[in-house]
Amino acid sequence: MKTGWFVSSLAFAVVLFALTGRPLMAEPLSSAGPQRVVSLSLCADQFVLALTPRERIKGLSVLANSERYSPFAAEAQGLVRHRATAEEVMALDPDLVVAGGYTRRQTVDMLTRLGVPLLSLPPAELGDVPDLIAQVAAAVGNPEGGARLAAAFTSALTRARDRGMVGALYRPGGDLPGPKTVENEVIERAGLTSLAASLGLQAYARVTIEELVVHRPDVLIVDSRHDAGPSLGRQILFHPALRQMSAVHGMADVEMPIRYWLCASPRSTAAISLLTDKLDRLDGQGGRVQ
Amino acid sequence: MSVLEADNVRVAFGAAEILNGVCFSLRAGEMVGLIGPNGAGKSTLLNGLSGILTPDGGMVALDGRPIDVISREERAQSVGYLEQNAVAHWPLRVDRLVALGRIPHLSPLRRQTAEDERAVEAAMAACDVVALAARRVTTLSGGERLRVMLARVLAGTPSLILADEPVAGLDPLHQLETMKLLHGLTRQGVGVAVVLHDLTLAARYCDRLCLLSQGQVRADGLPIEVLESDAAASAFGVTLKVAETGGVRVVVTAEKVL
Amino acid sequence: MRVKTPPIGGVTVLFAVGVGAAFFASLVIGPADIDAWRIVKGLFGAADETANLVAAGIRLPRALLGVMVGAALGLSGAALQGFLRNPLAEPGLLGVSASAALGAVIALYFGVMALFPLALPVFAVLGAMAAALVIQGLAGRDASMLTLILVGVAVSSFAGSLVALALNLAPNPHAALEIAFWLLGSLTDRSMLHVWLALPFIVAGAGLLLMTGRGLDALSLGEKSAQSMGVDMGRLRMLVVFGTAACVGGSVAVAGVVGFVGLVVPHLLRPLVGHEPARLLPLSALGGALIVLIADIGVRLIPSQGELKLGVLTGIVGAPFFLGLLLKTRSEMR
Repeated sequence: MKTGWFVSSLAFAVVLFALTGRPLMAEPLSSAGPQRVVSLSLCADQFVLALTPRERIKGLSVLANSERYSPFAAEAQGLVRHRATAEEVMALDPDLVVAGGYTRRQTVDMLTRLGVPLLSLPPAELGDVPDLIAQVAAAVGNPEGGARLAAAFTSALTRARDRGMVGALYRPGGDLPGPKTVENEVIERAGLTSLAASLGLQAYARVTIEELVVHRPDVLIVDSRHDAGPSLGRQILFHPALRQMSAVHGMADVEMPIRYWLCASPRSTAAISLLTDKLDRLDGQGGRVQ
Repeated sequence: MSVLEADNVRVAFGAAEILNGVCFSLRAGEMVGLIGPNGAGKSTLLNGLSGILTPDGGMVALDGRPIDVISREERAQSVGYLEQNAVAHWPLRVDRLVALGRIPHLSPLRRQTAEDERAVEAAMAACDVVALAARRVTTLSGGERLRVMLARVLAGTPSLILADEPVAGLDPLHQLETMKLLHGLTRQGVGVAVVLHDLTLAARYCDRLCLLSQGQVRADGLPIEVLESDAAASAFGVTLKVAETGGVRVVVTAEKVL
Repeated sequence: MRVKTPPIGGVTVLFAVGVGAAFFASLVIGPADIDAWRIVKGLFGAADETANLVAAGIRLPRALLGVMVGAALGLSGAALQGFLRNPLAEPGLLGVSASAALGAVIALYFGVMALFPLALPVFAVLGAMAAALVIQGLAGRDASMLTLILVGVAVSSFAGSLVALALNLAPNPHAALEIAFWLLGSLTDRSMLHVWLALPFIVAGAGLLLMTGRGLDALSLGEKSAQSMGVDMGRLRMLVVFGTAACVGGSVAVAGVVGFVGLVVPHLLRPLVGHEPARLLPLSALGGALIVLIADIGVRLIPSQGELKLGVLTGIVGAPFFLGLLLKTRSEMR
């Protein structure tokens, strides 16, 4: 008796499913480009917002409209945001999902298994951005826009004169971004010698205050001193030794926003010009620059 | 002349009354045996007398002064308490354990003086544990441990000692030696109250017996009178006879009371 | 035959010297290659700028905290073991440390510390106190080993879970990643500010605990005998609870939970003082300081990718020790 009910319900569900025409396999992209683009993470948001017509963006990551973290915050206003679980993404019924840095492996795997067209952007440095722009532009059906953006990006990739100063970006918890990171490249393009590079550090290395004191950089760059909420890591940025190095030993203290270099994004070049400006105002001044 | 008195003491645990209107006294120089069936309240009375427990009614007085008025240290200096089955939680050296008995006399900052050391030595000599001084208390036999614990009590030079079943579980030799030791103390002017289950020992060594049953004192007086009294018969459920054989007093259980 | 009270023994002096040597080693060892003489001069501000700053602003607070935290943990472990008459008692296992961490986390991540810095150790002390009172209530009176361990596990797990929850609810998104600091402890990148925050509480707590010596000695004979000797059990309990809470709260607030120090140190040193609780107290403080300083030096010398936490080293030694202790006392656990 019960088995009978079960089988009937199952059959009913299958028929219903088939009738509503929701395919389990995706249709090939139409030549006009995907109409329902969903971006899976903050880094992917940047490319999607830069290249996709607004009405076709059906989902962005939770941080997309955050002034602190997203350089495209203004453009993201009013668009739907999700928490990057496969369930929520599927509910948006995407015909293209763009994934970038900081995505959950399991989510990407599940979406792939469900047959959703997925463009996965690899971890990138600044130099990779034009290529990523091209990939995303092709995927969303906007190749001319992509070419323009890539060209603008490349020309904004300036390099200032060598200032003869050593710079270091110190993150909460004592991380020092090193070679092969966006932060490091921006610092070098702004005309500083990277402390992390000269110490032979890789990617994001943990450096204690003591090491920072001994290798005292000429410029200390900080991007999270006024982070959301206190934490142990943030406390380190207020260590008395750092204050002493600025006040007494002439180390310059420069504050930068984090949003331009958190991801390798089409607007990351803004960081180069911003940092260059701040450093220009430093020369001959010393001390803190806001 | 030290005297410890319980006047109309009442102790209750929840609804159960353990002691109800108990009057008891212990004077320097006398040996009093506390006897009675199990659950009569003998240990509870000792706890009340030693200050471990505060009675719910009545008063305990030392030399006429109520115990709750006297400071703990002062009371501890006069009244020594030997716990039933006294054990040490850490494997202390015997001489250090006995030295703990001086604690009531040591003020917070004062260390042991020569006077303290002498008291400890005397206590150890009196209990014949000098030879055990360097041993760890956990390696001792039952009889040896009891003597060490007693030495600890003596080290405090109390004028009154309360001992809760000190000879329970000891073999006859050690039972005899312990009772002789306690009796010897009374001859030196110390007052000793001892809870006993062995009525023969009670009759042999005590100057006075106090019979407790169901939280009340049923008889208090000379050993023979108390043991052969109707109160004793009704308390224990058996009639007792005190006899002498070979110059030694013994107590025999005669008949069940009907 | 004279029964003399042993004076401040040779053992205590030996340990004091050891702590001094470890303190000096902690000052001169670090990631930066600065020779010892420069460091010593730097402590007095008499060397070059860099050495002055490293010595006085970084190495000195770290070494001081090593001594303070180690002494606090060793002392409270000895006091708890003496009071509960149980060699398995220590603030970490009983959940007192985790509760202190909960207090500290609430103060730091939710902005209370921004209002007044002392909130950090104060909240930690309150957390420790709450746990100590719960332990005392559930397992205080002659509790068996089994009861004590179970109560400790319950309090510790509960507090630990709440720490994780608090960190996840904190405004700062990176807070959740900092759980390793709180539950494993670290002295890296601490400053003199942390020394000043913890010092009053650790000193006060140590003072209270050192006052328990005589009472704990009397307690060797059991609660009844101790009371008959004039020991005020209520006062002794308050001294142990408040002293432990202050010591542990102060330490955890600035260094996180450093486990097993309070278990291992008193246990190893007890035979050296004839198992006497009062004599064990100051020696455990020294022993604890020595262990934490050595562990903190180890953390700096062992090459590792990320930062090696203090609790990893104390745990590697302490956890097997704890297991061995459990097996040895297995029969007493019924």
